[in-house]
Formats: sequence, C-alpha cells, structure tokens
Amino acid sequence: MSADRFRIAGWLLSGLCLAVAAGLILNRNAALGAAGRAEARAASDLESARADEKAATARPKDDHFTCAPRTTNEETAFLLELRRRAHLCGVSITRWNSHATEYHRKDGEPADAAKDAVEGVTKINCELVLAGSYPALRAFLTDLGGADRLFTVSHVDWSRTDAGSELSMSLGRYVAPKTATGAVKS
Amino acid sequence: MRRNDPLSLGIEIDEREIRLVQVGAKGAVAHASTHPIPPGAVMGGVIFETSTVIVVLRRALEALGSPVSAAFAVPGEQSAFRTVTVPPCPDSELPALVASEIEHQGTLGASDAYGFFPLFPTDATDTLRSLVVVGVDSAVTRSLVEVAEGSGLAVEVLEPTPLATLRTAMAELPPGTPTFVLIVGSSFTDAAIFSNGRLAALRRIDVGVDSLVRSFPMMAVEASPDDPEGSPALDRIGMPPHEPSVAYDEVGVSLDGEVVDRLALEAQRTVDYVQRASRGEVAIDHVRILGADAQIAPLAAMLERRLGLTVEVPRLPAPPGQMPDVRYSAAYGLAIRESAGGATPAVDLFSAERSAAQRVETKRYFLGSVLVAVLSVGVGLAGCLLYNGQIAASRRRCASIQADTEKARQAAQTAIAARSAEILRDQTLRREGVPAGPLMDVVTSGLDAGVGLKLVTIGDDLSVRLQGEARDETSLVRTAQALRGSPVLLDVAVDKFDRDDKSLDGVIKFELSGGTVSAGRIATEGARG
Repeated sequence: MSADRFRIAGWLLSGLCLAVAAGLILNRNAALGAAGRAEARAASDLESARADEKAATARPKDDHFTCAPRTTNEETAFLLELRRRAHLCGVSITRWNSHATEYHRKDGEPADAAKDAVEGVTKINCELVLAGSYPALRAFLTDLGGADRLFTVSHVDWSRTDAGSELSMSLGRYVAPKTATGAVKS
Repeated sequence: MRRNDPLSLGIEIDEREIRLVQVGAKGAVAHASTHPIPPGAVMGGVIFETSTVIVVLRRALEALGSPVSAAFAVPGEQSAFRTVTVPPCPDSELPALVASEIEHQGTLGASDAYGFFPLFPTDATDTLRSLVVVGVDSAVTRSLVEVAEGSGLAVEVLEPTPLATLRTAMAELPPGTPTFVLIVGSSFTDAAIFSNGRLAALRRIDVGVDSLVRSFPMMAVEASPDDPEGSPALDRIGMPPHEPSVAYDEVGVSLDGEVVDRLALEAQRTVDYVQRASRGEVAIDHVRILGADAQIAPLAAMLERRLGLTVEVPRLPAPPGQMPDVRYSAAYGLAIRESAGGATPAVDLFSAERSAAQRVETKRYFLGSVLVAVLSVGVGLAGCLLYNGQIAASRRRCASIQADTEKARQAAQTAIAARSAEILRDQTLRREGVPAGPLMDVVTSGLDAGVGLKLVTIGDDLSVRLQGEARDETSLVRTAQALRGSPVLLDVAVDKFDRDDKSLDGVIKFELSGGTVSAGRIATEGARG
C-alpha cells in the first residue's frame, strides 16, 4: 500500500510537472503566435505606409510647376523660351523690361495660409509689348497658358493699330525661395 | 503463471533431482516428472552449479509449454522452525512484532529469509498468540531465485518442503477432522496436529529418513531380526517392544527398528500433549504419514503397530498413465497451493525479498517519476526561455517595423503637406493673373457686326474697360448685352457714348466698363485646359 502511494505520488508529481510544463509551453507558443501575428500586421502596415509614401512623393503626371528653381540662367532660359513661343505664334516682341519683387509677410501681419505659401517666392514681372494679328496674339496667350511653368498675365492693354493689334501686358513668372525645397522641375 | 492459465506448477529441487508437478484448476495432475541433476550441483540446499540446474530445468519446462511462473520448495532440512508467542494484537502489527521477536531472540541470521504462520492451540485459556517462524539461510533462497530467473520463471512463492507436503497430506481430508500428520524428511520429521480444521501444534522430531534407513549389511549388525529385547523407551510409554527391522524391497535397504521406536515415542508424546492440553477434546485416532522417500509405506506399517493407531499414507493423484509416487508430495503441495483450503499454513519465504524488490522498484519508479518531473520542468523552462527569446526577437522586429512604418507615414504626411503647400502656392499666385486669352475671345465673339473696338484695358484691380465705335445705338446695345452674358465679364456697363458730329455717317464712340475674374477661377488653357 505504501509502495502504491509512492507510485501514485510519483505519477501525480510527474504528471503535474508535465502538465505545468505543457501549460507553459502552450502558453508561450500562443504568445509566440500572437507576436508573429502582430509582426505580420506591422509588416502589412509598413507595406501600406510605404505605398502611401510612394504615392505621396510621386510627381503629378502633368509635370506642372509653379516656381522655377533659383538658378543663374533662369532669366536667359525664360527669354529664349519666350522668343521661341513668340516666333512660333507669329508675334513680335516690340518692348520688354522687367523687375522682380519678393513675397514677405510684414511684421505683425496675422497668419494667412495663402501668404505663408508664397513666403520667399520671387515674382519677376515683364512688361511686354507685343505686335501681331489678333489670332497670333491669341495663340501666343494660349501657348503661355499651356506651358508647364506658371505664367500670370495682368495689366493688359489691347489696342488696334494700323498694322494689326498691339498687346501690352505684364507677364509674371515665379522663382522658388532661396531655402525652399518645393517646385523644382524634374 | 498467467491468470488465464489454469495450470499451476510446483517445483522441488533436491540434491539428486528436480521434481515437477503441474496441476490443473480442478486439482487433476497434468504432469509429474523427475529430472536428475549431477551430484554436487546442489548441496545443503544451496544450488552451487546454477547454470547446470538451469539447463536441466529449462529442458524439463519445454515439455510443459514453457510456463512463466512456478512455486518452488525450500528444502526442509535447511528450514528452521521456531515457535514464538506474542501478545494479542491486530494482524497488521504481527510482522513488526515477529521481526522484533526474531531480533530479540537471535534465532535467525540477519540475512535469513523468514515467514510465519499462526498456531491455534487447543487450550482456549491461553491469551498469548502462538506463531511459528520459519527461517532459511538466504543463500538457499538466493540460489533458488537465481535458477528460477535463469530458467525464465517468476517465483510465485518459496515454501518449505514440510509445509508443502503437509498440504498434500491434508488435501483429501474433510475439513475439521482431527488429524495427526507426520512429514518425514531426510533429517527431521515434522509432526503436526490439526484440530477444528486448523493447525493446533507443530513440532520437529530429530528423526529422518537418513537415520531410519540403513543398508542391509549395516542392518545385519545393528538390528538383528532375532532381537529379543524391546526398546526401553517403548516400555516407558507402555508400548509393546518393537518388532525386528524388516527389509521391504530388493535394493538392499531397510528400516532401523530402534529409530522407528524413537519416532513412535516422540509421536506418542506429541499426541499425549495435545490431548492433555485440550482436556481430551481432541481425539486422535489415526495418523497420516508422508515423505519423499520410498520407505514411507513400510514405516507407516511399523508405526501403526507401535502406536496402535491407524497410520495411512495419503494416495497422491498421478497423471494419466503413471503410478502414484510419494516423491512428488512436496511439488504437488506447491502446485495445489491456490486450490487447497486454508487449513494448512502457507509461508512465502520470498515475500520479504519480493517486498524489498518491490520497494526498490517503487523507489526506482518514484525516482524515475521525480526525474521525469525534473526533466519536464527543465524542458518546460528551457522551452519557455527559447520561446521567450523568439517572442522578444519577434517583438523587436515588430517594433522596428512599426518605427519604419511611422517614418514612412511621416514621410507621406510631409510629402502630402509639401504638395498641399505647392498647390496652395499655385492657386495663390494664379489669382494674381487675369484671363486675358478667354477675355479676348469673349470680347471678340460678343461684338455686334456694327461695332469695332479700339482699346481693351484690363487693370490690376480686375477692372475692364473697352473703347470702340458703333454704327448705331442698336449695335452698341447688342454688344453690351452680349458681353453681359459672358461668365468672364462682370457688371458690364456703358460708361459713356457720344456721337461724333463731324462724322457724316453718325458713328458713335462708346466706352464700356466692367470687371473680370482672376485667372485662378478660369480653367487652365492649352495642355492643362
């Protein structure tokens, strides 16, 4: 009887320990499974976040840009392009002069998102006098409007002359701020 | 033997041969055989040449279908019988009391195997319990166990030959019959008295076959048939003088009359003692005598004449085709151990060793269980550590991935913010321009046929002024009306007109004013349009 008790106690002890060990292993196995699932979810989130990042950082297809990079040959490139466009449209540039202004918010001026957006941008206004037929002038304006770079037209005087039409206007173009990171034509 | 096997096997090994008796469930002898062993293999009950005996026993067992267990007889000459008395106590305390008594008396060696069984004295006033302790040198039991295990047999029981023979002698008697039994061994004769179906007395008489049987030449000198004098001892107890020794067989052996007288004297004293102790309640009128020697039958006849009681030799059952043989008395008693009644005592000299083996086995099992427990705990802890390592590594990877995810999200947010700022900048700057092209289209398309423009001015404040000439008021009004319907021109009004008196055809000079919208509100022309 005593021997049986010892055997039963041994079986109980070993069984208990086996059960405890099995419980520990199963618990840890479940924890490992949960950790693996969390890792898989994190990997999926990372993949999604990277896709979002790629989509956000991709340039738009129209390749339109507002400000040209601040380079030393910016004006030369602009004049060459302007002459090319005028020549293609049959418009002659009879007068040209320009001056530049830089956008800055005045001290004490309340915060404005629109003004913040153009802070540091340099606007170069070209006073142009163009001569040509109405269709040529109209084609020239259309060509400017379809350019990748933003050009704004203001202060327009359109008059009829003996030779055709004369169009006097201010053509504005924009150069990126000195420290700005945006709007660089790729 | 297996539980579903109805056969029971008893084995007796003495110095000359191995005796096997196999008995069926109903007590019928299925097999009885003897197998000689070489001289000197067994001496003094100890099996010295175990390998030889194992070979002989294995061959003998092959004819029995290779049983798995058997009961073995321990030679009676090697067994010591001691009567001890203990105070009344529960049966569960008897083993401890007997062990203490043995240690106190020093009657057995420290390593001797022993067992005990109760006596039921006829004197009912005796308050002490009488026990018979049977001890045997452990060398004897060890050699028997070694042979058994070498032969592939499990030891069911180790029992002294006299007790097994006593069971054989009592096998056919109806229970409760007062019986006097003499078990004749080679050196001793054990006298047992049964009363009311229980063993009432047991004593060992120092007379055996070795002293009873003499060869003819010796008998011719020591016991002449013409001996005129009876035994003095027999005279003292009132018995007739002994008769001369007689040769009963043809192999040259006979019985010594004087020794027979001594045996008869001791037997008579035993009977007298029991009858005195029971105050005449136990009436012994016959004696059963049994032993492994062939001289039992003539001895019974001689004792019958000396004691004046009926002395009979029990007839052992024999397998079909064989004659009954008293040599199998001990082996047969072992084989019927399970089926015999409880009148005869049973002793297992292997019980202590079996218990010790069980204790060792239990200890081994327990240690094994502890080892399993420790191993399982160790494996569990090791598994835990390994799992924890993997879990920690997984969590580190997860944290790294989450950090990368956060960086990617921040980068996306930064890019989106930059893109938003760029769009806002574009919209803000675009508002600084005027839609010169669309406005020119609207103006040229809205002119009536009788109207011509001289100057169109668009100011920085989005004001529009048109100067021209009209052929008549109607053309002017139509033109103004057409321009008012344009979404690009707002609040078109005729500021002034005057007729040129110098002009013969009545041309009207006019000036229109209005406003326009910024270029930011107009769909982009050209490729973006």
